[in-house]
Amino acid sequence: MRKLNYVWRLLMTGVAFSLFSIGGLMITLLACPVIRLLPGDANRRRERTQWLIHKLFGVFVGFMCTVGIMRLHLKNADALAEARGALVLANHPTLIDVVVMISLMPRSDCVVKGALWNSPFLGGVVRAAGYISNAKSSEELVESCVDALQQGGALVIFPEGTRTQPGAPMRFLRGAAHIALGCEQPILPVVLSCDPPTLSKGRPWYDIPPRRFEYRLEVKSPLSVSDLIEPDLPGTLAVRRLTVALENHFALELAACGQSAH
Amino acid sequence: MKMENIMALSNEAIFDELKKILVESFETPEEQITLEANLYEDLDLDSIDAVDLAVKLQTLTGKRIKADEFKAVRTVADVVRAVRSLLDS
Repeated sequence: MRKLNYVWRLLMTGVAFSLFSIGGLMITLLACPVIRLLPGDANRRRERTQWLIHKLFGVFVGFMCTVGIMRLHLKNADALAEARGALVLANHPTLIDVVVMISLMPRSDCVVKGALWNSPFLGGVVRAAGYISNAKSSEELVESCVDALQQGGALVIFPEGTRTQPGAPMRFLRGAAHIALGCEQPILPVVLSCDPPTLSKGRPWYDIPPRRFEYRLEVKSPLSVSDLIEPDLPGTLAVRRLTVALENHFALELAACGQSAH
Repeated sequence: MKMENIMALSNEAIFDELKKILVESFETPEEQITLEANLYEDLDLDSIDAVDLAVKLQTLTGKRIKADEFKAVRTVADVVRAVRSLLDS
């Protein structure tokens, strides 16, 4: 029975991965042209594409839960749905973090890899959604992120820059702090965990866990820069102190959430 | 520091000034700052820091630094050389 369940989950994980790429291609080929034909300016188009991605990610997460690959535990997720003009920061344990988060956010901006931006499957979608490509200089990237926030977007950033190396402590890059210091918008911390670990960095999709994984998402209270660092620091120091403060904040939140889970 | 003093700066003195900037503004551990140290790989500066560093060097020398030239800078020795040629220009 256990064996059967394993094979079933392996099969369904494969299906989920295929669905993701096929789904991306379908939106690029079918939905994007339709969205372009609908009345409204570029902004409306972008909102519609973001909404469509939100809905489809919802279907995708629903699929994974229904077939028994994962179980989702949400806490205070409404805060994510209502986030506007907020810098949404999250730790990054798995490949599906952004999928779960956006499935809860009707409007979201995020930074995507240059490789994804040009991908034949998903490139059309991420461009139409107005997501931000990381294939530009750091200065331009920070500027684009600050712009998106000031236009009321909810910008999802993983301060680690990539998925957490399993077993290693979280290391935050300074990008998130640069963005937070570039605007006055609140920071919304989201703490993610996955047990048993799966879809983590350097792990192929077919290396599935021995049982269905429990995925937890908790939205914490919003923070402002002034909660985390002393005022009036010169820019180069402020960005460093803020990075360390955020890293410590997340480490504490993660430790707390690990304890409550057991 | 006064301008005439700066013009007379030796390379060692430029290195010391640079070290001061790195320690004070970028919290670089002083013992890591050698002439061979790479700003980005060894001293954990990023490209936004490089812009800030260029601005600070402009204030120090009173001369404009060309962004393109500063982009080629990799090591501490490169920075000293860039400041030297600014002062001599």
